[in-house]
Amino acid sequence: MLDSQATTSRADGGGDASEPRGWRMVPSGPGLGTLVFVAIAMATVLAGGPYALYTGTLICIYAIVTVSQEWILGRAGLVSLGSAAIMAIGAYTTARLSETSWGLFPVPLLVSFVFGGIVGLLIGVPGLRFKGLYLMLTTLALQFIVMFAGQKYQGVEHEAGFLVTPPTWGSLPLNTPKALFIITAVVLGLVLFALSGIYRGVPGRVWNAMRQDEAAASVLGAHLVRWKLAAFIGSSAITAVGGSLYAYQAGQVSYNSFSLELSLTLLVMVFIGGLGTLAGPVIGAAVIVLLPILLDDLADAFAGLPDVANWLFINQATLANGLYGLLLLLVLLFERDGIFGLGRRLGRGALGMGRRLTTTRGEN
Amino acid sequence: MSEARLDVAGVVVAFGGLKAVDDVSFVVAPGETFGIIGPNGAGKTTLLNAVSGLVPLQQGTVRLDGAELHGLRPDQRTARGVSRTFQAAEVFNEFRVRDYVSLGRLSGQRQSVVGAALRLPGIIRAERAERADVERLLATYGLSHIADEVLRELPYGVRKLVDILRALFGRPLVLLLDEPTSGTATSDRVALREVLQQAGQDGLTTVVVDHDVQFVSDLCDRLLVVDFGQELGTGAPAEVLARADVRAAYVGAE
Ligand SMILES: Nc1ncnc2c1ncn2[C@@H]1O[C@H](COP(=O)(O)OP(=O)(O)OP(=O)(O)O)[C@@H](O)[C@H]1O
Ligand SMILES: [Mg+2]
Repeated sequence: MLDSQATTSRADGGGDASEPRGWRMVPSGPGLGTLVFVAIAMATVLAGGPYALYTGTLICIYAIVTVSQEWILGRAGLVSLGSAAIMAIGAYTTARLSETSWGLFPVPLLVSFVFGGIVGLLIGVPGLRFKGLYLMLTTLALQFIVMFAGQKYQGVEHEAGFLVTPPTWGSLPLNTPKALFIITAVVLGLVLFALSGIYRGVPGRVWNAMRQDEAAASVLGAHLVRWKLAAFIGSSAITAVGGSLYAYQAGQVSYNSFSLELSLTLLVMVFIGGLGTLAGPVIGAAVIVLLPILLDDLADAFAGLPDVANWLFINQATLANGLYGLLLLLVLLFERDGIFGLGRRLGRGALGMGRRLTTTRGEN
Repeated sequence: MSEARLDVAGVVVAFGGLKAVDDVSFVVAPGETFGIIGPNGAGKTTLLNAVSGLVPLQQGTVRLDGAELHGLRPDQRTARGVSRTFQAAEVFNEFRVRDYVSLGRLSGQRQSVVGAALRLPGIIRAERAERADVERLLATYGLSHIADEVLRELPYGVRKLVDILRALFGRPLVLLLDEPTSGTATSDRVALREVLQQAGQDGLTTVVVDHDVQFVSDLCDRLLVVDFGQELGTGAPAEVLARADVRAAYVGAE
């Protein structure tokens, strides 16, 4: 009834209102700046040697995982401690399938996606029926179970883990550094494409409402359990794909690569990168991969002072953890939107200043 | 009163030892605008929460068109046509106006995560049609210019109006309003009354909780007065407000 009377007003009255105002950031879709940045990053990695390709691949893999974890943490407002365990499920699936007739790429990737989703469903149903800490506890349990089961599964014969048969298409090897980088970058691109569609549509708005006020969101019409479950299943499926790609890159899968510590690191990186955007967790993933490398370089830089270099070398892991902690504290205290939020604010500040400088006169 | 749209009978809601709503009954006919008044803490919001399904009932029933709502979640009640606004305008501060209003039709929407991920044509088309409906609704109430504003940055009264438009956007059978005038300017109240009178003429059944007795009396056919969770009386505004106990409990406390 409201619509019929509404049609009598100007037909496209909303047209001018929907026009973005010049410099203002449009929240949906990647901007030109992002595209240029991505193109430059891709070109740099592709032009680099095997080490650059290796690093780039690792960043893409972790980004697939952090982006999917941000889905549950930043959108649905849920905490999961089991991301490494779900990666492990994708990784084991890939290792075991790779040597069978199901090993044809990308079949293991797709199977990992499905298995991840199923595990998400099995863990999510008991974890999400109740409010609060339940999901955190069930995912923690999953983490312990997967570590234990992985160790038993590997047994003594496979103590060092399962080997992954390298993927090929006929005579074309897919596990060269360049091929792996392109594959992971494409998968990451697909994941970002899918998630941006989800977030800009109705589902994104529903999770946003649930994060602001759960009870009120249910009054708006959101079936809370179903929406949380959807986020958790989807994110688990994608995380398992990350684990699958991890297996291809590492060439070997062992339970101790997927410890609780990795889950926690990934969680911290999602925070550090910034919640509420897709770029934030990608930045977080880059930090996970690049920070230890930078610390290595730092040790090299002190080659003239063997004591210092040695100390840096020995304490690298501790130092990295310390820096993660420090970054997390800084984010929590000063920049709730993470590194990406900080960058965006600086960018906006600069744009605003530029705008003021260019339009000091002739304002209407 | 077999044709009641909303029938609330003998409802008791307790928090621990406190009976926030203590045996309250009222009936609202289709198309009626019904008012609930009472001092702070009388249990008005809790009564609306009981209808929306946000709090469990210790006793009593809530019926919509004769059908018992017991056991239905809030989202299921919304899907059946019970919509409401929130007393605090800051509940959903982070939305842009157009996004928030579109959430009013969440119950009727196709909500496919996979469809959104793959940008299926059907989903995109539905979304686009809905956007156009939101634009039209905002234009009708002269609010097109704030469609892109974030709610946090708008005056309190405008936020409350946007919340009502969100609720109306879902074409509810029954609209529950929790203090639409609180924190609003006099000019906002005039606009508000026009919106509600128009909705009433279009056949909407409305329950209005408010502290502005004048506003409620002008708008409503009948009033319920509650105090300490209990009913003091129901009837035509002039008649109810003339009662000595109502004056003592409510008007005296103002
Ligand atoms: N979730 C809750 N838990 C415990 N007590 C509650 C809860 N909700 C409301 N109450 C209590 O129930 C009583 C009624 O509260 P309610 O919010 O329904 O009053 P109200 O009439 O809406 O008041 P106001 O005019 O201030 O909005 C109050 O004493 C309040 O403290
Ligand atoms: Mg109240």
